[in-house]
Amino acid sequence: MTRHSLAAIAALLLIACLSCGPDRVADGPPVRVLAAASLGDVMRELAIDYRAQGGAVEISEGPSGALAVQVRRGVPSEIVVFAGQRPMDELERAGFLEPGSRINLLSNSLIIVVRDTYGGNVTSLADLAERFEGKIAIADPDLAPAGEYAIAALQSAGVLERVQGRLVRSLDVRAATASVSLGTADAAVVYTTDAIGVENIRVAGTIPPETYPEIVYPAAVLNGARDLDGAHRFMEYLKSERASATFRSHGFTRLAAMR
Amino acid sequence: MISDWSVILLSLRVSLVATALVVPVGLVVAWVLVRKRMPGLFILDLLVSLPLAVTPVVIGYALLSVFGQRSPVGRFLEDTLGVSVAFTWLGAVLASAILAFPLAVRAYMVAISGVDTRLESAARSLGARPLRVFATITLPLAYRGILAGTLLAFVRALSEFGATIMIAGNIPGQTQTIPLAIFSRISAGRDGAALQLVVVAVVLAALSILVHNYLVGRVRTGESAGEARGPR
Repeated sequence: MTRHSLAAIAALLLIACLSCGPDRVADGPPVRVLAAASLGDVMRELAIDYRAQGGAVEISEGPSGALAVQVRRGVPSEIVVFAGQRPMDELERAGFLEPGSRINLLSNSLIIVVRDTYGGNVTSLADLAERFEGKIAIADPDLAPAGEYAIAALQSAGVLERVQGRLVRSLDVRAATASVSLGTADAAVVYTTDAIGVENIRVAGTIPPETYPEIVYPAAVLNGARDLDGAHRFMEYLKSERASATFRSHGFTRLAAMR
Repeated sequence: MISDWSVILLSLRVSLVATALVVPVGLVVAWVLVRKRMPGLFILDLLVSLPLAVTPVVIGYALLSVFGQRSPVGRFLEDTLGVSVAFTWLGAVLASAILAFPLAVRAYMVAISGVDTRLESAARSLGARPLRVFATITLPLAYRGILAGTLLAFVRALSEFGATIMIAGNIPGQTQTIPLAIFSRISAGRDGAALQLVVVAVVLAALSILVHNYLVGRVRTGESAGEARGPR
């Protein structure tokens, strides 16, 4: 009995070994894009469109810190897109970027979301301070840039001190949105892109962009790229009108301005 | 779009291969740790447990440092042997295997130390070589603990995230296992789609436990060293 089940397990594992190895892509490595997790969905949608046009691209997403380490440790890749300037600044200083290839690709904006059952008329941060009693969720400014932007906006509106006691710090901006959706907070200051497709919330108002630092998603070609031409072609595609329509549908604004 | 099925199959493949690596190496290491008395074993013991002591991201960082293109090891593998570990499913296997390894070894150690050494000595005195003693005495007697450890390793491999996303990236269809797909879906605010995969992960864990229980049950009727044999 024992011998038989041992043999069965060994056979199973052997079969697993032999059948392994996901499908390889033919002719040359695709352009590999390392993208911030918040861009994962839109980048994958674009990759599908790009492939349909005959291009070869693959998206790997992760937290910005992980992406930066991957570049530094020499993971073969062509393009990086971050959700903030800081990791890109560091890579540029350390000499990992193809000179002149860095662009400010996308922008995002801040909004106020409330539970969809909330009947009150809150449209601005000043309203949150004066005509609103509930808890306000933001991303933890120590952990996520979204939190820094929210604090800056509250400061510009001159209401930071008055709402301080009601601020709830979430792990990241997604968690802040989720806390309203799940009812543990009553309002949240989050990215426009976060409210799309989330249940039980509604957008109460937008926050004037001049009251907080510009939210920029930079992109650049890596100088370790295996396929520089392919990388530049995909960058051109990202800047195209076609791609920008997809970005817009996910709530992003395309900048595509040279720095 | 990459379907749930391809994510699930990739996850199973990675976890099975990782477990297939863990079992033989783990058995040797556990046997050495339990049965051998030599200086320096404490270091081995510590090394085995290290993946439990540090966060998986650190393991992923270490793997990237070893297998990235900036390391001589990574370059040698890539240029000379044509094997790339970083950002391939092999990287995911390696990450899962390393994180699962301590769980298997700890369980194997308990299982092996439960085997009466006098039985092993008796076999040796009758002329059996160490490998034969291990295969015919130690292994069958320690079977249940070994199965339990292997199950733990497999389930841990299935859930591996931190080291995997560092060394293997998160590429749909290539390296995106269940935990990575859950991460991507949550990052994108698709909680419902994420929940689907959470359910799959729980079902896979439940199935593994059922298989384990079934095998242990079979062993109990077959092995029964001191008990009377016969139908239950």
